[in-house]
Amino acid sequence: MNKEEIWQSVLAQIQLTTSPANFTTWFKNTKIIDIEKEKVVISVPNSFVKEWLQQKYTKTILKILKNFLPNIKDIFYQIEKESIKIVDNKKIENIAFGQLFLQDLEIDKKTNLNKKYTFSNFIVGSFNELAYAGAMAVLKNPGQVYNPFFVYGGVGLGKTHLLQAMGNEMVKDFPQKKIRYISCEKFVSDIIAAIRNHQIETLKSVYKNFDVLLIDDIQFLAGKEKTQEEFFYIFNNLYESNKQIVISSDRPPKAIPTLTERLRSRFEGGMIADISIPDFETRLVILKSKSEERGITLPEEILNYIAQNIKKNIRELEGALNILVTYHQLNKKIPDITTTKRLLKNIISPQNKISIFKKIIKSVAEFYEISEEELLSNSRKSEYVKPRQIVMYLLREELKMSFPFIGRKFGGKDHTTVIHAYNKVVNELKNNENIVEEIKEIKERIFS
Amino acid sequence: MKLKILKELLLEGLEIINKISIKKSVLPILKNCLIETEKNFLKISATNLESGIMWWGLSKIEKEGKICVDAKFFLDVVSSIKEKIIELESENNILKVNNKNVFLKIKGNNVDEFPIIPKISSKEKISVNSKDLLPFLEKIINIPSPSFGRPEIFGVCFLFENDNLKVVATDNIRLAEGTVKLFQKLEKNFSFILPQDSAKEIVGILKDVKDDINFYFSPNQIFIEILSTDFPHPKIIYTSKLIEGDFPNYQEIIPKEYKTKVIIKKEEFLSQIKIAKLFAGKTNEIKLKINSKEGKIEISGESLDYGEFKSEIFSRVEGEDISISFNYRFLMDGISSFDNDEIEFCLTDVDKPAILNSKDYFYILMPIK
Repeated sequence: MNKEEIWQSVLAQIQLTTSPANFTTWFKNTKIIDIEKEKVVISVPNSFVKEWLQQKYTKTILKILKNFLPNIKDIFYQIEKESIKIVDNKKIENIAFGQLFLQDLEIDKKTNLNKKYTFSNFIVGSFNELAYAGAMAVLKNPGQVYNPFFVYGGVGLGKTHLLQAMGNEMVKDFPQKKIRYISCEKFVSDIIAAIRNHQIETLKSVYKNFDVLLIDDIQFLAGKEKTQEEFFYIFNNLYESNKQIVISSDRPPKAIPTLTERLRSRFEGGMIADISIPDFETRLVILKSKSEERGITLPEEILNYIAQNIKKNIRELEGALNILVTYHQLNKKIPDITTTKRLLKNIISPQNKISIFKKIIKSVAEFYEISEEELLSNSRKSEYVKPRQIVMYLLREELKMSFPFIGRKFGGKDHTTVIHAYNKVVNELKNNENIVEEIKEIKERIFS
Repeated sequence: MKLKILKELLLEGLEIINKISIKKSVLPILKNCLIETEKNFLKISATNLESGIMWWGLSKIEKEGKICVDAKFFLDVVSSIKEKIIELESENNILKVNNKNVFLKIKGNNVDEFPIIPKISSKEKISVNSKDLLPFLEKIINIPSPSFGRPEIFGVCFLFENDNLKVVATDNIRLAEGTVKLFQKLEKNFSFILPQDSAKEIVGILKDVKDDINFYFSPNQIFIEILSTDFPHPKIIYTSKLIEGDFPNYQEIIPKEYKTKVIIKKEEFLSQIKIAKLFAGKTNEIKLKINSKEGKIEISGESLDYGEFKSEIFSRVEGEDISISFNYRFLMDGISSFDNDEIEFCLTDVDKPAILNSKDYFYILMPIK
């Protein structure tokens, strides 16, 4: 007989001599949680039940228990944490859809994880299946396979969701492990504060104690040498004691500028998985599941329209959906396709060439961490030349601009210079993996 | 049981123990109060199995004993009696209430079925002035809502830190905190989360109490003791279960810097919101447009059904211009919870928490985007 069966038979006998009201009041949510040699530990929901059972029922329970466990002499009562109540949704009324919440309150103090991110609302498609499979393997054996686990991908494609969900899953599966999620920005500011207060050793020893470290948006380490040094130390310490490290970034390690060589090779030592842009079908699935969550059924035509027009960013898909949901709440009807087009005008506007031109300049400058003026200047410094050539290439490829026109945009360069630049990039794309990655990243930024 | 007691005193006791809210329960005894003798005192207890209360009143005990009667019914009976002194006598599960020319027999219930209320088990206590604590509890008591978030926030958090007691409540959209100065500096910090219903009961009890109250802690239970002013014996002991878990680390969300600061004149502002809310539409959304140079706050509401509203008030404004929307109900709740006529209102961004601030109390509110 196991614990449950023993307790069931105790309850069965007590039921015979107790009124139904008393029985439900005092024995609901009770159970045996432990049987040791001479004592049984019974869990009770609160102090009132504890007092009552202790004083009124201990003898009866003991007598019945002796039939099954002759050695039992004592009963202990332990107050158990109440199971989580089902939240009553009917009171949510008159809350505008755009109402913002104090998000940080959802964050767990110990792990820094937000509980709303789970795998149950994580949609897997061909765009992220490698990252997902890697995550699953890591979850089975944290620290043993794929360490570090490095995920990269564009804005709004679910990197943070994946990291947080991994953390939450590990909290469930390995409750004894110390898990810590941190954004790189917060990490950097912690390090700087610690250096200023001469507490860097204390901070390092705090990190040493984590069993799992999830660090988001690692590209923010770029250009911060002192922080990189401290991070390298922390990383090594965890890595050598087989602690799992999970890292996310908006680009692969080799495309993060000014990342020290030793960190780069560490990051590349585990598994690197990319999250690309979801294809049309996946976008449709995402939209359908999100609209189900919101309790709204939208016609195929509208879902298709959104999925066709918002391509690069899952967050924007949700944004579009939110607008339609608000319309539905206010007007008590589902928007038709014309209304949808009008409502989503601001999100889905055909990108005009001028804005793309600006975006190309901006994205390239940001990616290589130089200013836009430097990019458009005449300087022959090698750190400007390559980005400039890439801009020329992109202007030609994406906007089909003429070579002389591009030349004029760059302070009157000859069209042959532009052709040279264009051909150079085209050739490099054939031979150099790095350039392929970099241009892919830049394109994602331009169109995200 | 046989005793004599002042009617006013008995009435006070019955009113206090009736502050325990009646919860849906299958156990009929929970509608009862337990009346018993204890040395020179009459003791009355009530419980709903989440919280419990005990009250003691000095009385002339002639014969010891105890009985359970319907708490609400007994209160109604006693409050309609005109005599100054009441004699209570129990016999065979009947409570006899005798005075000069009225004789009542109230049907009692089995005292053995009355739940056992947990007792104070620790010696450690912290004293708080109830007059200081009560106003803050009243301000924040209605904020927690079961609809939002985790069970940990469906209650009021009490944080005893150094020489402060902070009481905090949130519903994920708003968060308010009040700070009470303690008499002594604590060696150890304590904190617990009290269920909202229990906090409401405490507010009800403290309204009639002007003295200091003592907090006693145990792992799953909190005790509040109110001593008699006349002799060293407790007058009331209230106990409640606690909500398990950690209250969120809310320090992180308190805005520390701001871009726009407005001094709100409470009454003027509230009267404008009252009109704007009629136009706020189904989403309760009203818009504030703050112009720093002119010191102008424009309040507007727009409803598909009724039309538009716009009004201007002038006030001191520092910092940047901003246009931001709120749920009028939450904004009104916040502003009305301040006692001072001028309230500091600080804003950071259209999607960042705003804060209404005073010396020992603040109210944080998330905008609508």
